[in-house]
Amino acid sequence: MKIRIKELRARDSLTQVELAQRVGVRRETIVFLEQGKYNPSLKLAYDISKVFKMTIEEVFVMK
Amino acid sequence: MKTKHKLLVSFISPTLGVILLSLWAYMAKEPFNTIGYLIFGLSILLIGFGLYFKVLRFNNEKLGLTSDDEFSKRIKEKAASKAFRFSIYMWFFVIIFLTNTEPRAKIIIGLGFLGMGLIFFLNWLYYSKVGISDENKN
Repeated sequence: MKIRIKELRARDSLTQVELAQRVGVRRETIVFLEQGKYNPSLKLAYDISKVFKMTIEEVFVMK
Repeated sequence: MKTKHKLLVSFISPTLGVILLSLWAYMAKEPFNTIGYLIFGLSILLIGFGLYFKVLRFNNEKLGLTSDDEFSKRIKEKAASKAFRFSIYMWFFVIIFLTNTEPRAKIIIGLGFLGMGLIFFLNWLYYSKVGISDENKN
């Protein structure tokens, strides 16, 4: 799975802390998500996609 | 102010632990033997782990973030389940090798509990560094 969080954060000029605050998780969770070391729950995936105004499939791309 | 108050409260249990350990060391009638040093060292290590855990929580709260989320809960669950499995092996070895030796039952049980804590800490540390991305693999 390709996770586009880092790329989208850069596009929207968001820091890891800001994204974590918006979706209600710790900064470490965002770090691990970006590194592909954690598969998020459906709710978290939805919340993150909502921040970037995209669909889940556009943020979490299945290869 | 609220965060500062929370921080103070969260340091009560580690401080109590250090005080009790110091009292135990001070009031001991004989100098520590190997097992005494082992129990003391393990206890200090586990108190240190507790403090590290609290500092991490405090840092997140300071940034206005939650201190406990789905990832941290998943790490704890995974570390606890692995720790349970390893603890069974540990108790097996304790029963086989230690029950016929000199330490009294309560020392063996105390060491076992500290060992369980240590196993949980090591598992937690491992999953905190490596992550848990392999969960959905068959």
